[in-house]
Amino acid sequence: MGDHDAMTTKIDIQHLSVEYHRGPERFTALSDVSLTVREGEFVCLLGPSGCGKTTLLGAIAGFERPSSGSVSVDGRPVAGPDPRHTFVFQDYGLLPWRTVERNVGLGLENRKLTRPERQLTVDRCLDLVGLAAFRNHYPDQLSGGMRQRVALARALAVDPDMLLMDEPFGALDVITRARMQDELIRIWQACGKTVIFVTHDIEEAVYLADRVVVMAPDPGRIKAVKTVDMGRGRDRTDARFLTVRDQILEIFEMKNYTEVEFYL
Amino acid sequence: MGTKVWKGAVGIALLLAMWHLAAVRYDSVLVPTPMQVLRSGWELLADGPLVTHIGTSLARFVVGYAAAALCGIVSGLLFGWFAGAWRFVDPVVQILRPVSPIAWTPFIVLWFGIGDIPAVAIIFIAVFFPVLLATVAAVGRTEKIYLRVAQNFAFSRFQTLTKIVLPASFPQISTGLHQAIGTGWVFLVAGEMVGAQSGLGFLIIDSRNNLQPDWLLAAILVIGALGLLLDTAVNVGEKQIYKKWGTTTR
Repeated sequence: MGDHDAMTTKIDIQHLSVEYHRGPERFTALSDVSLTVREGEFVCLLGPSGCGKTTLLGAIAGFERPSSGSVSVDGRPVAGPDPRHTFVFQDYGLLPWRTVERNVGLGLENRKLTRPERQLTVDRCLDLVGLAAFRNHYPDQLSGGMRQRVALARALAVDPDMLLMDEPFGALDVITRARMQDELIRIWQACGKTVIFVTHDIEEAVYLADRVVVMAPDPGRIKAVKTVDMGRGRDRTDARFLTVRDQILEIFEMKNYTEVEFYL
Repeated sequence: MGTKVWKGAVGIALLLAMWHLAAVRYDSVLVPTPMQVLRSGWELLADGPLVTHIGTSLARFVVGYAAAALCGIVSGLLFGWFAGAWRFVDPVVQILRPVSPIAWTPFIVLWFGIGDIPAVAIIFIAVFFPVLLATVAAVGRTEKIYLRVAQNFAFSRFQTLTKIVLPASFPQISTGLHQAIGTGWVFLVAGEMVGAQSGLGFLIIDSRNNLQPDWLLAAILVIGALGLLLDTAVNVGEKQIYKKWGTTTR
């Protein structure tokens, strides 16, 4: 739950830049990004493609190395991928030769757990995403929404303190996506993990986030950070919801002002 | 499926008819009739030598193929995984691969003598290279996302190899194994024609030496039929693998 009074810093990013070398060319994916995220906060990284939001998520996950600046989690610089900071991929990253159950248990296989202990965790996570009945199915036999729930269960099984989600619902249809959003919020409220969620969908960001980090391309940078001061169980048609959405549209300079004048 | 079988049967019947006409037209020492071949084949089968030859050939095939497949997969996994080492080995393999395994037979006989070894060694050479190359390619094509998942869960290199890379490569490796079955079977007969005293290849040589064209053709038909049988068996196995591994291999 977004406990706004507890100010424990979870992620601390200072003047982060990430550059890629493509032959002789240099490409700046992220330029001078600074951001802090509180423990238990739900933050959305929002922006068009090429704004470096996935690179930023990758830097927090330890997949990308900073060219300059720093990324710290729990006060320590990120040295590499860590099971406590679990990545959820847009393409799910499920292993097609394993059943749902064995996919969910993947991250537990290098831990010192007995078989019943492991099974207990897998069962609990399958229940959490409502897929207990599909434990013996293979990923190919599931819909996109179900696959993403398997991926979420697999991420939760290792009991991370942070979920790093890279456009996880991007490939889903609108109705499935709305359901997954509600489910994610429910799970987040139940276990209080920090969530960083990358999306290019403004409504999705406003629906999910405590704060929306608005990013812009060329070079990738943070343009604005918008706090969504609304409780949970948000209504997408509520006036306050629309106001926040419009404010973000304004940041992207996508709002048509002349039309508003005629409207009056 | 019904029409496929039916048309296949018509094709074979036509071939038999043409064969029979040709046999009647020419000397039966040059071309025995289908009936003669069938009778001789039945005699070979009933008297026992054919069964022994088939058993010997299949045993050699299984030993040579299994050894080559195992060596090919293990070394392919290692070279695919340590791509730097593969750059040293790749040119060597590219030079050795186009050489027909038969070319090695003088050396094989010199080094290992005659008997079972030459045939087994030739199948080994014929099967090893395609399996090795298929495995190296498959490992190199492992989806990056799977490797990231493994990294994220802090898998060791060994765990990543056994839990992720090997199963992810398996469909492609099995395609390589399948193709190698056909190649291996072709070279088995060739291998047995060198110094072996048993097996289907020996039966060919023996028939020639005894001027028995009916035995010769019976042996050829048996070799073809067994090759088809092996291929069908692998096809069935492969379908099961693909079913288990999912239709998408990504």
